[in-house]
Formats: sequence, structure tokens, C-alpha cells
Amino acid sequence: MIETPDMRAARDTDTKTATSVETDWAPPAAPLEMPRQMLETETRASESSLLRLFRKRSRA
Amino acid sequence: MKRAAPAPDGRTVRVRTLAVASALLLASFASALIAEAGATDGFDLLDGLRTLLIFVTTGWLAWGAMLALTGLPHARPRKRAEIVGEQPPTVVLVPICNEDAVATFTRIQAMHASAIEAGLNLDVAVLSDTQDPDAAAEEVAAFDRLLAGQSGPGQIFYRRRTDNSGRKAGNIEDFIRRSGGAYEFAVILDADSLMEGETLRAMIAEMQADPKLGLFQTLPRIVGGHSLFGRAMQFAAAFHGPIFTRGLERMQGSTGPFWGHNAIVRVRAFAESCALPELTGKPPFGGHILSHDYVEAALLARAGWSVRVDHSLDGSFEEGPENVLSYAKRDRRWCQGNLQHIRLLTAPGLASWSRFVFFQGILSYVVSVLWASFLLVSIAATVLAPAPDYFPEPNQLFPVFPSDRTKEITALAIGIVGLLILPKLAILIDAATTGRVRGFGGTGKALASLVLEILLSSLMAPVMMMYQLRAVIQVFMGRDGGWPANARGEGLLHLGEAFKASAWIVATGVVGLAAVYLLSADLVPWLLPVCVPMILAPLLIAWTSRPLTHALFRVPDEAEPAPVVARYRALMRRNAPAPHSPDTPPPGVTADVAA
Repeated sequence: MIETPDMRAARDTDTKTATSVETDWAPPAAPLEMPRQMLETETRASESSLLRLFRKRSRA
Repeated sequence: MKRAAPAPDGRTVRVRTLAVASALLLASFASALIAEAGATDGFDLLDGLRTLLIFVTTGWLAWGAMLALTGLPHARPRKRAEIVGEQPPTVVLVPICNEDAVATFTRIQAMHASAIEAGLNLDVAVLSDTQDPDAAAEEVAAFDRLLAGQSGPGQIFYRRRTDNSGRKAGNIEDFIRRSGGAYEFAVILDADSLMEGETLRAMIAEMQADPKLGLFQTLPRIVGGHSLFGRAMQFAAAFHGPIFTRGLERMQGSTGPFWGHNAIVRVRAFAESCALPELTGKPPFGGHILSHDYVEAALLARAGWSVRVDHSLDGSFEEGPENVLSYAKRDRRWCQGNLQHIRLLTAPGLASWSRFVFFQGILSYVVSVLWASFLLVSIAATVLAPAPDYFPEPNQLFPVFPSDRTKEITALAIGIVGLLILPKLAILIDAATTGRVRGFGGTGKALASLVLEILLSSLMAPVMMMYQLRAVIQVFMGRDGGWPANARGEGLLHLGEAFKASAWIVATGVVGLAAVYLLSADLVPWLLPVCVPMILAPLLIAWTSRPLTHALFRVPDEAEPAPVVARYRALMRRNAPAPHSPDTPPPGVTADVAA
């Protein structure tokens, strides 16, 4: 991941007007799991491996 | 927690059943006419093929007509939800890749300001997959300028991936894996998206009000069209789009679409359901899922979340292609993405309607092959038709003349044209009675724009069909088109460029017409509407890329641009660099022709 140079934007120092545009380039660290979804049946996904097995057995 | 996929309610089932039954009935009627005509000289294989092809192609047209007719009846305006209590933490995700950095960040600037005015506190994450170092430097510079000019709540982040695996879907997934836990909702935009702050507010409110809602999709309106092609598309989208989308809402129920942008998702639902796998095998059918949005919508439905599209929520905008070649380039990607869904028709656990949506997407591209095949089979059937047998019985005294089916075939042709035109006329009548035509210049100007749009699309249809046909053939031959840079803002094409991109279409038209003339000259008049536009393709492509005055194809957004659009344009006048020379297009904007 490329890091942008550390930048400090001119800020409104009046704390009453919320001008909290951060210059941090990194968003908050709050990991969320994303389990990989299954879209192919196991039969389909393992077809190629079955074919390879068949070929190996044929050559044997 | 595993939920059951949302079952369609009774009304949705009735609407679907009526639409499907009507389309099948019309298709059956058309194919019966063709079959009867073919049977006059004996029903052979070619007649069988023609019958089958006309059944599918007419069915497809009829389905489109049903979508429009389903959307015509008006619904009572929905009461909009309001945000209750504190605004749920929401991030706006803008995945970009080799875009015009100045325009993209200016849009973000306009939207962020609009969101603040609407009382929202949103984070914005610009997620770049740009690989070109010069374009990346432009992005950083534009981000600097954006931050320097900002005031108000919310944080704006920019990060660039060096490894753009998974492309746009992977880009968004990367963000959600790292930071998704901090947000309840995520608005997903494209580089050319613009949204009003009030619209973003309404979207957040809808998500908050319905805990089962996984994704809420708005109907983006095309803005900024300036060429004949761009403005015609802009008009068609603005005039017909809301009706077709209302029909779609009624048919899809809670298994609605995701178009990849101008939508809001429930982050946890998306995280739990939408991490896309790589399909086994190589592209174009294996590998990363190109048209990920439709799959994500299907996966959300599979996990029990509802997905809704709303045609009536204003304030959502995007830009469209300005010439045929830009459109064809984008369409090549969409073609590959949709045909890849063939692999997913039997994916486990999907809702039946999700599978039907994949099937529709596949058919929308395959239909160009079917239309071309119908033309070829019809020509072959005519050329190879046996000579009439006037005395079929032995020792017959009086001749038997073959029955003339010209009237029926002409009626069929008129009927097919009617399926395309009548829904649009119905939309015009509806717009005139409700007053919606005012935004399009009044009834007279709207009618003129509609007639011109129909004429233009009829003229361009054979050219577009050829590009789609090539795309389908390329995909089935295993050619991966990848995800080329979006050609946003491209306009004028010179005749030379247009000829280079369409010489093969011209050649096909010339050869086709010549062959038909030699084989059966009587068929030539029937083929002129197809072959003449093909022969004139370079002229049509160049002509439709020319700027058009605002007198034609007027849309409501021109008379009264939405505030966020007006703000974006004002900021662009300030932010945009000096005009580029013709030899150096703006960074991130290429003039690649669909390969």
C-alpha cells in the first residue's frame, strides 16, 4: 500500500465549528471478517482435479 | 445468523407471472406466424430454426415492453423515512482507477459540502487502484487541494493499492476488511457519481428504518451530456428510465438490483455475504467476477437480506458515454461480465429471481447473435426454398398456387416494431397527462425528442448490434477483455478514428448486401434498414459524437441543475487545469477503441 506524504491542511482553529477534516491518510482500523462465498458446487470446483486424477491413472 | 432468502409477496408474484405469461404469449404468436409462413412450401430445418429464433427474440422485446407497461401505473408517493436519533456511522466509498483526478475529486468536494449542508457527518474513502505513476501523482495533488479547501465535519481518506487484485470488488473488500467495523453503512459511488446531501440522508434513513434491508439502490440520472449520442442517451434515461425502473421495482420486489454505484449497503450484511470467490478456470469465464454488482445483490438475497431499488428518490447522478466507441468499450466489459454469469446460473442457494436476473443479463447480449442468426437463416430459407409445385397430385388438371403470406409477415414486422415503440408512446402520454413533460420542454418538444430518439436508435441499432455480436463472439472464443480505463468525458471523434474502429462493420454491410443481391435480389429492400447503417457506420459514429445544441433532447436537469451538479460545475471551472492539446488527452482518459 502506498503511503501519501504526511500533509497538514490549514484548519479552522475554532473548536466550536467542527472542522475536523483529518489529514491522516489511514481510515480507522476496525477489521471485519469477510468469509469467502461459495458460488460453485464442490463437484464443479473439483472437476479439474478429477480430470487430472483421471489422466494420471490413464497414464499409469 | 443465517436467514431464509426473502420470499416474494403475493403482489410481486402476480406481477411477475403476468409479465412472463404476456411475453411468452406474444412470442408464441410471432413464432406461430413464422411457422405458418414457412409451412407453405414444406416445413424444414431452416423454418424450424427461424421459428425458434423469432420466439426468443420477440419474447425478449416483449419482456422489455412488459417492464415498461408494469411501470406505468402510478403508486401513491411513499412517505420518506427520517434518521432517528444519532446518524449511524456511514462512509462514502469512491473506488477509482485511472480516472480524471481533477473531476473526480471535485465531485467529492461538491458532494461533501452538500452532505455537510444536509447535517450529515460522513467519512469519505477514495480507494485508488491506479497503477500509472503519473495518474497517481495527479490523484495525490488533487487530494491535497481537496483537503486544503475543506471545512466541516467528516474525514476524507485516500489510499492507493499497488496490488489491484479483484479490481473494484477487491478494492471495496480491502477497505471493508480493514475498516468496515467502524461503520454501519457504506455508500458506494463511481468516479463520475454525484449525489445530493439530502439524498444521502434519505438513503441512510431508509437503511436505518428497515433492519432487514441489505442494500438500497437509487436510480442515477445522466447529466452533462453534450454530444448528439450523449444527449440522446441522457434524454432516454431521464424520460423512460423512471417508468422502466418502477416496473423493475414491482417485478423484483425485495430481490432488487445493485448497479455498482449510487447505492448504500449495510456494511455487516455486505461483509458477511459478499466476499466474492475467484471462479475456477481462466478468464473470461473463470477468474475474478467482472460484473460483481449483480452477484453481490444475489448473495445478499441468498443470505436473507432484502435489496431494493427506488426510482423516485431524486438527487442521484452519473455521467454517460459521449460517443458510440466509449459506449462499445464499456459494453464489452459488461458483455463479458454478464456472460460470465453463465457459470453462476446453478450457484447453490440463490433465489430463483436472482437466477432469472442472471439469465436476463446473459440474454441481453446473446440476443444480438440471435437476431443476426435470424437474418442469415431467413436469407438462407428464401434462397434455398424449393420452386413451387403447381401440380402436386398426379393427373391433376388445375394448378394449385402457393398461398401468399406477405400480409402476415408484414404484420409480424409491424408488430415487432410496435413492441419497441408503443411502450415509449405510452410513457409520453403518461408524461403529458401528469405534467412531467414540462421538464422536457413541453409536450411538443418531448414528442420531437422521442421521435428523434427512436429514429436515432433505429439507425444505430445495426452498428450497436455488430459491436455486441463481436463482443459475444470474442468472449465465447475465450478472449479476456479485462477492465479497460473508463473513457469518461470523451466526445468528438474524427471520421478517421470512426473509420478505423468500424471498417469491419462497413465491410460486413457491403459484402452482406452484395451477397443477398446476387442470391435473391427480392430480399434487398428488407435488408436495407440493416445494411445501410452498417455501411455508413463511420459517418454515423463521427456524426453522433458531435456537440449538440440544447434545443433537442431537453431534460429537466438542464433548465434547473440540481444544486450538487451546479456546485460541481462551478468548482470545476475553478479547479480544472488549462485545456489540454488534442495530442495529449487528460490523464486517465484514453481513446482506446473496443478491441
